[in-house]
Amino acid sequence: MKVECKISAEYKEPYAVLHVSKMTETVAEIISMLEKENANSQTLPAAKDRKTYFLKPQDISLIRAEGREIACYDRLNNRYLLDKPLYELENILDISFVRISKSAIVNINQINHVEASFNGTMELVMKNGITDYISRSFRKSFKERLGLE
Amino acid sequence: MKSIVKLTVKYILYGISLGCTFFVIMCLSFFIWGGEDLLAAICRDFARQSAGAMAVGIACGGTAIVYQFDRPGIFFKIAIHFCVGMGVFYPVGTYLGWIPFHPDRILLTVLQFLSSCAVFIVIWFCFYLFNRNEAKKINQRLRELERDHSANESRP
Repeated sequence: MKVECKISAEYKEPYAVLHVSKMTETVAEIISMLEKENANSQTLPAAKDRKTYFLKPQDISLIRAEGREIACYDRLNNRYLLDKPLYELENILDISFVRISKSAIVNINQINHVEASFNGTMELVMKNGITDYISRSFRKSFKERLGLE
Repeated sequence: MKSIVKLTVKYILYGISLGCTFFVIMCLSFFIWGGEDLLAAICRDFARQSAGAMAVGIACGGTAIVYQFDRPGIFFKIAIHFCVGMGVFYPVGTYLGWIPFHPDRILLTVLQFLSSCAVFIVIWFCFYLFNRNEAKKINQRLRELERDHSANESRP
């Protein structure tokens, strides 16, 4: 595909126009990726100690369901509460976020390492020390996102 | 609900295929390495033997479905998998003659039970080695991505 990129200070927000003869899977993926790229510059409202903070996605380490709450942990391990369900957050957040189980989404750039466990699951250790499990059903998509499948 | 039913069916079929594969490998090894008397005994009782292999396959392989759920805790999941697997394998194995059973010789029975546990642990360990290798690849990829990410961030 021929790609043209114009860089100028006159563009306040990035704006993309695609010239295609028909909608293909690749084009749809590109559109989705570009839309999510825009989401990276957005912030997520999160509550902590009865105050609302606006978190940058790149500062978020892990988001998971804890009981009825959707908890969000940042780089420094501060715990915030979000008011959006995980499936909605998954669509809002950019491509550096990946689902690891039905109840958790992680920022790939904040993963420290993964460890194998005897039961066939994999334990994921974040840079801030938080741990969670990659469930078997999400392992394939996790590896795909890393470019391993 | 529909997805749980679909997942359960998938794991039952996975268990059956695991049991059948082991059954065929065992029969084939008897055939190749001269256990023809054993093979003949299996053929005479084929229906029960194959059904037993499938049941053990479901109990050992199919119960791995517990790891798909977020609850209960990880050690409880291992306990369910181990207890159901052993709880079916040992009685079926003794009933079908895979494991000799001597109720009057307690020590021998205990040793047989422990060796069955050892077989389970060996299988688990093989899965662990496989997962450890996967984890190693993932960690390697994460380091590469981290290098790319920091290179992009330092670019003006």
